Amino acid sequence: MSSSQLESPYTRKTYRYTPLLALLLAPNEWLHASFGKYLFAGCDIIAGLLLRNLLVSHILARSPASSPSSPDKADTGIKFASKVPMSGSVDSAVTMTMQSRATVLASLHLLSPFVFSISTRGSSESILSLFVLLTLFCAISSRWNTAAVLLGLCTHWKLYPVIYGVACLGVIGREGRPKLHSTEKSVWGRLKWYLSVYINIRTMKFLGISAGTFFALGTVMYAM
Amino acid sequence: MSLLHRRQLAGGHAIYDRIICSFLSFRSIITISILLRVALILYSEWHDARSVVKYTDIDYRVFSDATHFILNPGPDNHATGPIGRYLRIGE
Repeated sequence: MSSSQLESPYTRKTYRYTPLLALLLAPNEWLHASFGKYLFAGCDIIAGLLLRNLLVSHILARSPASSPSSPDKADTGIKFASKVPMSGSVDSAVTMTMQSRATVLASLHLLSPFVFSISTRGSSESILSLFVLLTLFCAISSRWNTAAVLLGLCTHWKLYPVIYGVACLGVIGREGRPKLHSTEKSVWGRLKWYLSVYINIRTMKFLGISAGTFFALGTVMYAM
Repeated sequence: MSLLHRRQLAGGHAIYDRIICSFLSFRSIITISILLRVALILYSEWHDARSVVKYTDIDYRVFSDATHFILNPGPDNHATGPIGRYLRIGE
C-alpha cells in the first residue's frame, strides 16, 4: 500500500483520534501489523493490576479494621464496631477476604467479554481507560499535580473524562476544610460554603495544570 | 463500614471467597487473561484472512493507516503544520 494510493485519513471523516495514537502505533509499521492489538490488550492487563492494587490498598482498606482510631469517621457503624473485641484471627480473615474480594472484582474487568473483545478487535479504548484509572490512582494517593496532568491527557485523548475533573475539584477543595454545618439553613450561607470549596488556591492550581496540559497538547497536535 | 458489613467480610461470604480464591489466584487470572487475549489476537488474524466480515474493528485500520501516512512522507503526503514540517513527517 503506497501513501499516494489512499486518500489521507485526516481528510476522511473518520479520523477522530489524537495524532499521538498514530505515533504510538509506529511499531505497527516496524514490527507487526497486530502490534496495536497487543498494546491495547496489554493496557487491559495493566488496568486489571491497577484495579486490584487500588482495591486492596485504598478502596476496600477503608474499613474500621484498618483505621480503628480515625477521629473523623465518627459514624454509628464505627462506634458499634469498636465495641467488638478484635482478635488477630478476625483481622487476618478480613485481610484475606479483602484480597480475594479484590481478586474477584478485578477479574470482573479482566475476564469481561466486553473488555477483552473490544481490545483484541483493535479499539483504542483500553488506553483511555488505563489513563483514567491512573488519574484515579494519583488522586486517591493525593498526588494531585500528577493527577491534573493525567486528566489533561485523558481529556486530550477523548473529551468525556473532563467530567471527572468536577469530582476531583470537589475532593481537593474539601480536604482540610470544615464541613457544612447541618444547622446552616440560609441559602447564602450554603452557597458561600460551596463557593469556598470549589474556588480556592488548590482547586485553581489543579484546574490550571489540567487545562494547561489539555491546551498545550491540543496546540502541539494542531501544529503538526 | 457498618458492623454488618464487617461481619460479612469476616464470616458469611468469606467461605465462598476463599473457595474461589483457592483455585483461582490472582496470578492465574492474569495468566488466563493474557493467554485469552493472545489467542483472540491470533484468531483475529486467521479470521480476517478468510472472512469478508472482519473481526478487527474498522477504526484499527483507520489508525494503522494514519501511522503509515505519518511514517512514510512523500511529495503529496507531508504534514502542513510548523512542527510537522520541522519533523518531516507525513500527514
